[in-house]
Amino acid sequence: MNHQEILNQLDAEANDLFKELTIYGVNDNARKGLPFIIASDDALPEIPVAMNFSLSIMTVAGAMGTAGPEAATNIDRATEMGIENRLCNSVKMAAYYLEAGILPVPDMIITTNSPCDAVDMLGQLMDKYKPWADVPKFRLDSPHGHEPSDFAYFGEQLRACTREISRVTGRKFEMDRFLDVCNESNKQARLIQEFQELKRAVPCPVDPDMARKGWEIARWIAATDPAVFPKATRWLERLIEVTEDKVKHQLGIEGVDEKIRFLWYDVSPSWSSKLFPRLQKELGAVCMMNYYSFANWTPIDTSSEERIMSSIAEKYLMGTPMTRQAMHPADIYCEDVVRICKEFKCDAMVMPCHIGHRDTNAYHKLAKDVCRENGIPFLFLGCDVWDERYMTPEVVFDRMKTFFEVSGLL
Amino acid sequence: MDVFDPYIIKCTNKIDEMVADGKKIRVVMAPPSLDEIRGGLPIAVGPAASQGVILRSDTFVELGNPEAGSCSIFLYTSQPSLLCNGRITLLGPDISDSGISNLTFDEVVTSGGLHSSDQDLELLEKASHRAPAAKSFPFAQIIMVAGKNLSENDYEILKTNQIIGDLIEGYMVRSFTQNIWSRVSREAAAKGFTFETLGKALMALLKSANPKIEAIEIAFVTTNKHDIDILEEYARQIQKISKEIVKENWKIKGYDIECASDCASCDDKPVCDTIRDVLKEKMKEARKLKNHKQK
Amino acid sequence: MTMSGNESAKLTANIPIISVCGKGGVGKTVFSALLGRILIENGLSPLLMVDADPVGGLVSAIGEKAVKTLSGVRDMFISETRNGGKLSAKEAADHLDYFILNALVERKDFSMLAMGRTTEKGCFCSANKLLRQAMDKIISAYAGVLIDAEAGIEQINRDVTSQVNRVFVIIDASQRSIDTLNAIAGMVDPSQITIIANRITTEDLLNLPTGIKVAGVIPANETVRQFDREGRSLWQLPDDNEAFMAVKNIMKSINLSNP
Repeated sequence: MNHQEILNQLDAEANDLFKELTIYGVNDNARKGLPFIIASDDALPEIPVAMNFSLSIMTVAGAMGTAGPEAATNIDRATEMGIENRLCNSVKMAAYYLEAGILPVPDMIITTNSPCDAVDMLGQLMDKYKPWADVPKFRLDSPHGHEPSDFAYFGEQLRACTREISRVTGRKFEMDRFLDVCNESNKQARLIQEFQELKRAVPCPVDPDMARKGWEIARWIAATDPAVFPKATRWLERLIEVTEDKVKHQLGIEGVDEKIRFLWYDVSPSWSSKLFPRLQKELGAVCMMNYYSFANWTPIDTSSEERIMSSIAEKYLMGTPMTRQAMHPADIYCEDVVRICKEFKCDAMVMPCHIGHRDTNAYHKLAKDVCRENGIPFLFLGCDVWDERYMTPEVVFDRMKTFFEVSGLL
Repeated sequence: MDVFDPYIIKCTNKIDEMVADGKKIRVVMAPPSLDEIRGGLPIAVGPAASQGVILRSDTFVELGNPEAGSCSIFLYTSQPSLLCNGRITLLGPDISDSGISNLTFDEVVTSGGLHSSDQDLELLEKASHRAPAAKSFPFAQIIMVAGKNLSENDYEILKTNQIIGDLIEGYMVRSFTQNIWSRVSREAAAKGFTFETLGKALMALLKSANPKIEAIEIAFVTTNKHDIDILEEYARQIQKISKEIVKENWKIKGYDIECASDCASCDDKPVCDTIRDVLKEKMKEARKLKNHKQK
Repeated sequence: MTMSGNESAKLTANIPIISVCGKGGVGKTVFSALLGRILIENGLSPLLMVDADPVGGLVSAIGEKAVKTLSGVRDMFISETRNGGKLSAKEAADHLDYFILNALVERKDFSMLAMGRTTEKGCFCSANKLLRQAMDKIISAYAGVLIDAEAGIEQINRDVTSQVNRVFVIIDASQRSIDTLNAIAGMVDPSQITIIANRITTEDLLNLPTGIKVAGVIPANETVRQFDREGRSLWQLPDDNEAFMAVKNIMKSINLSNP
């Protein structure tokens, strides 16, 4: 198979697996025969894989609900039901699934306050609505700091969470098994890091969005189905092999005459298929990074039980998209922007934003200032990454094109 | 005295201690002018000097793999007299001392590189189709710069200018914020890339990006993880000071990035913790009383 | 005794706990003073009135003076903990309700508690929790509670009690007062909200956004302004004062003369 055939196959495999993340997938997971737990937001795969239960994430299912041909209908149904309009649409959809009775009732719920208070609200919603109100819950409290004491604090909670999971599901937490999973997780993290670095090549050898796909398989899909976990490693290895070969031969993305490299520092929009391929093909503009392809993961330190939990906590707090950017001071966001632009040779930064994402709206000016100081052309879009009707992909394309022209990049 | 001066003294004293302990040392002096520095290098330095990527299969040696030990320290001062301008110190083996290895990439990751056991090496002999990879040195990099006119206001620019990207041929710093983890390519090694090369390249880049810099001294430590861990402790303390500088610089711009609601950074946390303990005890007492009444 | 949140709620479940909210300068304190008088006259006694304005608006509006404040009790408790450690903290915690009672201005049919202003910079949510529990115990001894909420409902939930069951939102003709109303509506069960329009013309009333149902209107009144200017107690307003009568009629119409 040639490079593109391999990449197409990897893409197809990933897209097939992503069905597990939709609300239909969540319902299927509930019937798999494994203990079934729902998390209100992002969760690490190491615990479900080690303890062999299925973990689905509400906000991810919500985000998947804003993609595809039924997206507008889904969002409108949520609005008609009276779900708050100023909520981020991924959370809004998750709340809708709950209130409409589409979300299956799990054996246990893990709620968190991260990355935002809207996710916290989902946990509170599940306190009020029967039958979820009667389901045992564990609340994770993510600190805003990034000191060792914060990681230790969160690590203790993760350990307590495993005890509660054992109590509710009967699944044992075995340290040996957990160590194996952590080692495998570290391997995956290194592979993703390797891919990130390969992206630095000019021209960029592979669509950078593949990093997001690999990450989502290794993390979210593996959490829903522990059997996927080792397959994620192999998927990543195959991705690295083909990308390395392309770098060796100085090959870029097929069909793309790369002229511009930009940073889209927010979530990849659910309507990205209507924007990024067009930007690549018509303008030669390649999106080098977004929140979900920026997997800046610290390794899990397996030297002791305490260190394992602390370092997993650090991985979660500092490496989870949106948690990294939204839960910590804005200077982290600004530092990331400068570093990414330099390392990945980005010519410009786009700050898309989305409804309800108050943190990015709050530091819009900081980001603009930092870009100006570092000579990075900056565009603030103000679109919604979930509901394309708010600012259509066509309008976004036109604005970005004008921006690239005005910045002298086209 | 500038905020980092005590740490400049600490680091130089630590290096002297290591030398006194018998650690292998090599000291070279870089020439004073930028042109002379660049001219003497076996590799290119500057924009687009490299592709920015070194493949696993092209890696001669890794520096600062986290399992092997990694630490990056950057210090500045307004007193050039505190530094020995142009001095590059290497404690421990040089890049050219690494030799060729059969270790595969991920086995370097899990085995800790230079410190593999015989069993590990046996496993590695049965290496699969994966690309041959390189050893990893434990690695600490200490960069100290001085300039009469350097101040906290320059701190962020100095930090940003440490991002190497594609500026050094045959050298890639990996995507890792806390420490420093890098690769030297086989091609660069074949051209004679050593720590002297790296030190001079860094000096050239920093000096040309920052005209206020009058003196630079760089030290590399590749002895063992224990030595790196000691320097890592200095790095943690230095990071606290760095954070305060960053906070102040943002305040000057008009933004208060103080995370005031963060319990961990609040001076009154012990008071709150005490009150929380009292609350817990009182709730326990209340429950006991309630249970007693119900009986 | 320290209670759980549920136990606190049980203590105060049947007591009307009323909070008066609205943007600054909209007339909350005047309304609170007049409402307080009406509630006492109609038998809701003893009434606990809480002045959440750091500079003591409601206290002076009814001609009283508060020497000690709830913030003073809080600061004392934090200081005892800081200086004396756990033993001092425990002892102070055991007597918190006594310290709060000491801060009350007590009269025949009502008590007044001034929030005051804290000197402590930190958030001290742990201390706030203990104080709230002590407050809930104290509240249970009263027939009703009326809180003039200067800074908003979040302040009350944090610093006084989380058991508010009735919220009066005062609006005038300004958009900012409507914005404040919308913000409060987002935090409180709408069925607990009663909207009162203060100093508003008929034209402004008709131009209010749809969906805003006003329970009643209090007209601008020169006598009230005069009393305010002179620092006289609003409880000395004559019974036939227009503003006073308006509040009385509104309370009758919503059945809140003696809830």
